[in-house]
Amino acid sequence: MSENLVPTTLSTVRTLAGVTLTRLGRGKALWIGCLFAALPIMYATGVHARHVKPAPDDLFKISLLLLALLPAMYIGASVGEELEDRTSTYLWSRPIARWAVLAGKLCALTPIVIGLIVGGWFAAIEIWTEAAPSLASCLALTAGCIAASLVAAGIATVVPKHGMALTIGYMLVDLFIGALPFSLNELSITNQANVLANLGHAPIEITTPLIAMVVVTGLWGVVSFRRVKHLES
Amino acid sequence: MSIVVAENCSKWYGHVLGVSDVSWKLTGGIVGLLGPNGAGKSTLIKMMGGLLRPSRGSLSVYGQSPFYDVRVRRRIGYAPEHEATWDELSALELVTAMARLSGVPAGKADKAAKDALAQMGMTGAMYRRVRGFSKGMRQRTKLATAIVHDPDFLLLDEPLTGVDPVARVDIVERIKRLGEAGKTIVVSSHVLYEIEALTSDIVVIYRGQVLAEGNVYEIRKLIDRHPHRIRVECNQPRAIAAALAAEDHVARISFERSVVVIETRDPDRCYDQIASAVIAANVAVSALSSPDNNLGAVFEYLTGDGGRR
Amino acid sequence: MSTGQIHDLGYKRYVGSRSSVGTRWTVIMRHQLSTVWKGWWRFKPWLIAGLIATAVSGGILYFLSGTMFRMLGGFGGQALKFADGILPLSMAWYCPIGFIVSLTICSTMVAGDVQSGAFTFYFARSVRPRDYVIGKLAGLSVLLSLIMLGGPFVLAGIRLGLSDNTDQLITLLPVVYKALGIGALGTLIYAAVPLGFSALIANRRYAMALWAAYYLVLSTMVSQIARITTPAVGAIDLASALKAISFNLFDVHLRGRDLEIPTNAALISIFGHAAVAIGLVFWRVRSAQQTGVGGSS
Repeated sequence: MSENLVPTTLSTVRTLAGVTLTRLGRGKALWIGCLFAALPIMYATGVHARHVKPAPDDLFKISLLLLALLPAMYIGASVGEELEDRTSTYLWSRPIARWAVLAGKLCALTPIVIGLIVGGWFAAIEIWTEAAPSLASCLALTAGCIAASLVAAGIATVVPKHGMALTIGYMLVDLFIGALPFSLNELSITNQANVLANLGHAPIEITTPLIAMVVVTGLWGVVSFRRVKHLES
Repeated sequence: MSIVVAENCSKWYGHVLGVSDVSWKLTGGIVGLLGPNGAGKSTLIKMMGGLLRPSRGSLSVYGQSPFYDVRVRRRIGYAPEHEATWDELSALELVTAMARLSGVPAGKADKAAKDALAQMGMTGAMYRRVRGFSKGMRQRTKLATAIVHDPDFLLLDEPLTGVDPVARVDIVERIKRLGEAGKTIVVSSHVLYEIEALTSDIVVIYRGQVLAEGNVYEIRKLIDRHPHRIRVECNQPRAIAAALAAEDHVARISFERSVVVIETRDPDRCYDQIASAVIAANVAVSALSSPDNNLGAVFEYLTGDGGRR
Repeated sequence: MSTGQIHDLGYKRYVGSRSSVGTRWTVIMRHQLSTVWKGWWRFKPWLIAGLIATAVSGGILYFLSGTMFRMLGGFGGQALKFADGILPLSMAWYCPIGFIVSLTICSTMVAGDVQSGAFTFYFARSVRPRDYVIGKLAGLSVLLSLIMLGGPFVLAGIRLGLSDNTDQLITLLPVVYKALGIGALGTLIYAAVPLGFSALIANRRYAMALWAAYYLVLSTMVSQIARITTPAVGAIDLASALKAISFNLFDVHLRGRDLEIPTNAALISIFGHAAVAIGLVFWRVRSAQQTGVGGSS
């Protein structure tokens, strides 16, 4: 036997992230994601051309809808297809920790999701209001992307065959719960992102939505990493 | 030391029993894993590869559980049965990634991948994307991913499925060379004559249980229900028959044109007596064969009888 | 000369009557239904959600029947018999459920068949492209109608059952036709349009993403554009178009509600979407038939 060692976790995550990005770049998913991310930009361009008064809330709503879609399309589909198509057998037979597989995918795809959604939001606001969006709104969307990515990963490890569809369904329910006028809306990732974005620029209390987002994100993170540890193929 | 030790190992998929109370040891060499569809071959291979864990009992490879122990998987190379791979990558990229995920350092992974692909005859196509590969090329690439990190123990699940006849011969030769290099290899296949070309050590799985294991010819001797058939083509078949008719090990004698077929429970003694009869009666023998002393007959007798000896 | 032998293995070629080619679509439809019904996540939970929505709406109908009251001050203006408004309002529940069913089943249908090579099985037999399209549409329509048509139909029945007297019951009979009409349009939207998306791109994942983006994101943009241009533009948002038709049919007007989309514009949008979608499916299936495409080699 050669003297090669078991790969380190960092090496494993890097290798898997690299493979995931390579595959993404060679497929159509990235272009389709860019098309979706361009939708708010197109909208902002159109309404700006008609000299309509800026309504950041409307635009943020579109970004939140992208939050329901892009994590599902990238992470939900990637994790789900890996398990459903059984290409994961190549990974499970390697001397690597299973959670590192999921970490590698998340490390590769979550920044893509963040870049598309936050980038689209930034560009759209720049065009419409001729000023950059607030840092709070960008950070809120970033946090929302991370949360939605972990939701997508969790759902895809539980139901790999329908990971993408069920993640979109979950986020739609999340949007609905977020619109409720009572405290249940604090469980909604989209509502948490909306509150943290503070588009009204009024003083707000961010502790509760922040904690709620961390808790929801953490729960789905635990679900996904624990599930992947015990998956068989 | 046994490489694989299975002790009362069972695996359920819901209500379906994949492997049932298997106790088995693998010590080395090339072993053919045979069985009808749904017998449990892939289940057993996956448990050895760390993809499944036993529902009951235990299965260890090099003394460790391959499902839980990351380090023991370093010594295992697994080529799955299914065709799905990361089609967007080239063969070299795929095998290099597998090398890195198996612990080959980043600086050496590329060379290791090229060597593995060369061993599998894929040098000319290594820069092409897997999506455009034929079945044979996919199989070779799969095998390359299994050997790239120089494992001690190879698990090849149906490595010849869908491969054209020329490629089959080539892949069989390459597997034999790996065995000659000292690797322990378990090959699962439906193609019996190719298992025969690889090894005479087999494990027959039937309905989730190990039905038979060991050398195929030794197993054949143990199948009492089907006496050995020895076929002698000569100019005096009845002389041969007369010499053996009274022997207690002879179950039956039948004749075809210039051929006598003897069914015997003791083939070694029978061959000796045929030789003596040929010399004594001055018989001209043109052909001597044992039509059912082969893997195909053994497999058929074992599984066709529903697992009874 | 070599000799030949035929052995009777007990198999006999079927020599009985065969069903006509025109019934192939029923085979495809039945296969569609049986496939979707298997498993748990594809259809059953959403059917249960539809049943729950129907039960909740029916419960509200029951408790509020015969009660007249004004809407909350912010919506102002028009008193309405709330019980009569339940049916159009219930579309706010059925539309998301219908969308999720369209996501899990309809939007990946044709793309999945292209990817898996199912067309080679279809066209190796006496299946014509129109058999495939009609069969798939019929199967999906049956599934979607359980939610989109069955729910409103049950609510209409409950509304009739809560009539004070026979005269009122006769007066309210058109509720049934209106409910069936709305349900049929809803079935058409969530069966045909995502099927068109699944024919547009031969990859299940991208087809699903495109349909979701079109339905969720583009439609929201269109609705917002309609507020600053003309309400008829909002008909491009299929959910809004369906809700507009249901509100207009039941003559329910809530000031402060989203867009007042004209019925004609909504109908043109729905039928236009369906026509384009069915056309796309035909195009994809004909291409597959002519090129013999299907699955991996």
